[in-house]
Amino acid sequence: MIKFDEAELVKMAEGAEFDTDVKTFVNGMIDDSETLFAASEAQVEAYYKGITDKAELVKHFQGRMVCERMNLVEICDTIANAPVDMDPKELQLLSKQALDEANHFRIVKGVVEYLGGEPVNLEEAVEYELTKNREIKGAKLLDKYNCKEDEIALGVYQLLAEGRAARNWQKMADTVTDSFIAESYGKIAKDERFHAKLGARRLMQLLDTQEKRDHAAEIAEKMRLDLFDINCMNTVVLEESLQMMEDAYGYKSQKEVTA
Amino acid sequence: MYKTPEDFVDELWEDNQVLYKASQIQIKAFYDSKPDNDKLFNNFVRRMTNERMNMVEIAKAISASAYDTDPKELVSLSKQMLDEANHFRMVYDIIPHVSGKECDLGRDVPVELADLKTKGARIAERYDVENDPIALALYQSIVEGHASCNWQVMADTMEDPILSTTYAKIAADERFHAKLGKHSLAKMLDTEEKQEYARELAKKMRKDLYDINCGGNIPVEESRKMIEEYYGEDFIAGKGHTTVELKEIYS
Repeated sequence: MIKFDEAELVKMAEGAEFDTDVKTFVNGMIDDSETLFAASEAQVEAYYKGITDKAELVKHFQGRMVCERMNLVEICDTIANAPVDMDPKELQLLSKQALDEANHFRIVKGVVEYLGGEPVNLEEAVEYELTKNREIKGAKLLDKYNCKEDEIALGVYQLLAEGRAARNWQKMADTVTDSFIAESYGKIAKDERFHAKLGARRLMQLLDTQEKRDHAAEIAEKMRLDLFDINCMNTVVLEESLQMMEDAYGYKSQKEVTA
Repeated sequence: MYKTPEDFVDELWEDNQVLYKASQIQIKAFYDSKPDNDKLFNNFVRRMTNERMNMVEIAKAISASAYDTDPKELVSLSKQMLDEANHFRMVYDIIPHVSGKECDLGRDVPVELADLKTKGARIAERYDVENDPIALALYQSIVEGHASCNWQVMADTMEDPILSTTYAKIAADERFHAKLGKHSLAKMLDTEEKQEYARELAKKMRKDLYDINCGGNIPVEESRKMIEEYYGEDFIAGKGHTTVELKEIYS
């Protein structure tokens, strides 16, 4: 039988078929993002260790829940508008990612209800997060960097935002003491690591000239700072993290240290 | 007359069965007529494009879903979208095997997309499933149920084991999608008004499916009679499909 093979998908995500040259470039972008990931993780850890107000935590996870829904919709839009000659394997990968995001949406909703002790009013929650609370979502960068038109920008976003998300979810899983939440978030973190690999794969496909690589590097440089800004709005601001960002990327913060 | 949603859905499903049987006869007739490689190529490019269209329609439905849509429903739809993407890839991979010709997606898919008469996925567009949850669930139930019967008869007809097992897998997935549709309908159709709306839409979808099946296979006289007897003369009025009797194919 010709079938959809999980192992094949993982191999594809590793970018096995690409030249060393482009793999080295994209892997370099990941290495260059390590400080962003570490600085964000530290703030996530501090936030979860310090939070005592359950209502605030529910509100926080409601935001994360809607982020997963936004990711789902973005991927579905990409599939719906994919060029007719797009490789069926790429569409399999995108559809797999969409299913993951739908599952994350369901999982985080379960956590919000578990913590809040009552059913979530989805209509109100999604409406609020998409309109009033959009500024603190990574997904808003899709608009800022014109990801609908610029495939390279979308690839950079997937690489950095999903990479950061993987580290943050893992940190949450490691920090929270409740086993239900920890297990749920460990599963999400694993999926996000896979999605970050898909972002890397997409960039390996796209970055076939020096000009395109320069464009990707320029976007990545700005996007790392934006992603850190968003992290600061969602967690607590640590002096140590600000310093790490300044040392690595010349990040100049206007933010007030909160922990 | 109002029925319990479960009884209503069972009745809807029962009313599909003659259509499904008639379509299976026409598909089997097509393959048993020993079509040449060009016909096989066109037939499978059509089926492949149909899977891609299903994937796209589901993606649109998820994208346009109401904010209060239960995440479990979105997971079900996403699973179905992934299945359709897998089917698209399976049929794409199988085309050279079955016809000896490579498919060029950029060349072949637009031609199929422009053909409005031979694809079940067109029904999704026609009935605006992305904005009408009842139409979406009916589409899942009736069209995917039709597809499951069709893929299964292909699996049973094909002698090549690669084709046969691949199609059986697709048929199993489509059966699952039809179940999802039936499940959604049973949750939604809780008033007489909604049931009447669903009944009328289902009639139209079945008519369209018969038309599409005739366009993509061999219109068989015995199938036409079955359809006419069960659904009435109106069902095929003005269709103008030239039918052949089974004895002409199997003589």
